[in-house]
Amino acid sequence: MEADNFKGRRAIVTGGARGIGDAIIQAMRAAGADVVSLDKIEPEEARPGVSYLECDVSDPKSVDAAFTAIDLGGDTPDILVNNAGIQRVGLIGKLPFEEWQAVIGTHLTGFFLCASQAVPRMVKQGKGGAIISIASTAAYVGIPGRGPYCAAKAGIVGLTRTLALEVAAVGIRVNAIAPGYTRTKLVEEGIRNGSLKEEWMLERVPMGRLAQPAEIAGIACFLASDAAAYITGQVITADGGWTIQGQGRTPGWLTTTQGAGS
Amino acid sequence: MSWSIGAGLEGKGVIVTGAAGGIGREIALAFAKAGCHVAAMDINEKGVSEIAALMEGGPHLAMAVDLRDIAGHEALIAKVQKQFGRLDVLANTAAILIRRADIDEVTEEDWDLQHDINLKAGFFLNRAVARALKAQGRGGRIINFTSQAWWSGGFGGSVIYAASKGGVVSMTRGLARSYAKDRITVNAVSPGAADTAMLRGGLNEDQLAQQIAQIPIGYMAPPSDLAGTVLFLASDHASYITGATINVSGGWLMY
Repeated sequence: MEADNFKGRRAIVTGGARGIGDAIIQAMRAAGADVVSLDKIEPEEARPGVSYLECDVSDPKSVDAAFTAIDLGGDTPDILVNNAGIQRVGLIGKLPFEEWQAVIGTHLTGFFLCASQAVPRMVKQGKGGAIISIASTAAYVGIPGRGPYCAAKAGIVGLTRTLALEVAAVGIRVNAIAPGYTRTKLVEEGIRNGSLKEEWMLERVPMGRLAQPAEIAGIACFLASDAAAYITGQVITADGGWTIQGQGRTPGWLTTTQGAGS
Repeated sequence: MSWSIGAGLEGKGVIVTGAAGGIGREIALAFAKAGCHVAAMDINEKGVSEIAALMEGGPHLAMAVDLRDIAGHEALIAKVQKQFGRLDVLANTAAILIRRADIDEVTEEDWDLQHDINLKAGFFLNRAVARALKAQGRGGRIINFTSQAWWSGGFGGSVIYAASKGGVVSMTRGLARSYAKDRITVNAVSPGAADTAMLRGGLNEDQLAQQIAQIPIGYMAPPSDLAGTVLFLASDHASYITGATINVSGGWLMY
């Protein structure tokens, strides 16, 4: 299909320094898009032709400054990928408020703030656009110890649907991807700290393996392409079949019990 | 470097059922354009040979078949494998909609016909294809067609069509689980209002206009817009997606 060439299209990818964001950047570059990455941290491996801007997507001032810098470069975004995310693990009752705020701020508020900047620019440009956010299967299933993460991801789904309706008439499509367990730093951290156990993940995933970041990046390109011209307000689940059969076991330390105290 | 929606599809063997229908023909043409060998199957003999003549590349196959002949599925698949030397993808769009004006007009024959084609033939063809894919040992992709009616349940005279399409979603999930270890993914595509003869059938201009007014994106899907999603699900890009239903409805329904 001719739908495939992204030449002349500009993409902003948040959280592009590593993991799924880095994979999306590589896929979009391969498709010919110009790419700007917004991230708090330096890229693990800077990809050729990509502008890496420092930005805390949870902070309105920082997001405003990043989009102003993009304006000064003469770029108008055609594609926005909200991918930036962090993880904090702890049971409700023990998890500090600051950690709740940090997780909700990066995933959900970050989507709101970046979309708030990108939408008026896309409307002004008059060529429509595509907004893609990385949700998670955590939007559908509870994952003990990851309350703010699950809430933020479910929030991304709600905001995706709402924004899709708000901007359908101006040709902007808004969709999300819900990856299952993907071999990223966040998941590897979880395996190290014992909040995730690889054998329990594999036991619950019919495909019997975790996703590679590139397997999520291809979906983002599909949603940004003309091949998805009639898809808006949707969440594409890519979980190897996991959420058809539900959540797995929970490590003991992520279960609230009587008399355990703090 | 480049990026293609059809990554990994070149040279693959594909069965498209309902290939003479509005959506099926676009899918057959898109697979052919992506470099696949396409077995176009439909009960409409004239329609299926017309579409076969339009497909790029090849060789392809035009097969006039009634998929209600369950016992005949194995021979159909064997013929495709013999002709192409391989089978990799099933895109199963064959379906029938009998839209009665009122629920009290629905007959037992309506139920049987829609469920026989939409669900029963679909299940047995899925299983026969999966058996062939397992025997080949290279995995494969199965893409079924549901309808947004699976979620909304249809209304009045279209409830039994909706029920058959709900069955397609359940079946897709169960087969996805059953064949995951064989590296066969099973997914469904759920069109909203695609501009086809099937959709327009039994609707007057006013009713059609009312439907379109409900679509956030503001127009009915050209059938070719469905083909992009099918190609994606068959491509390398969808390697971790199984058991999913992708809703291509212009924002009409969101789930």
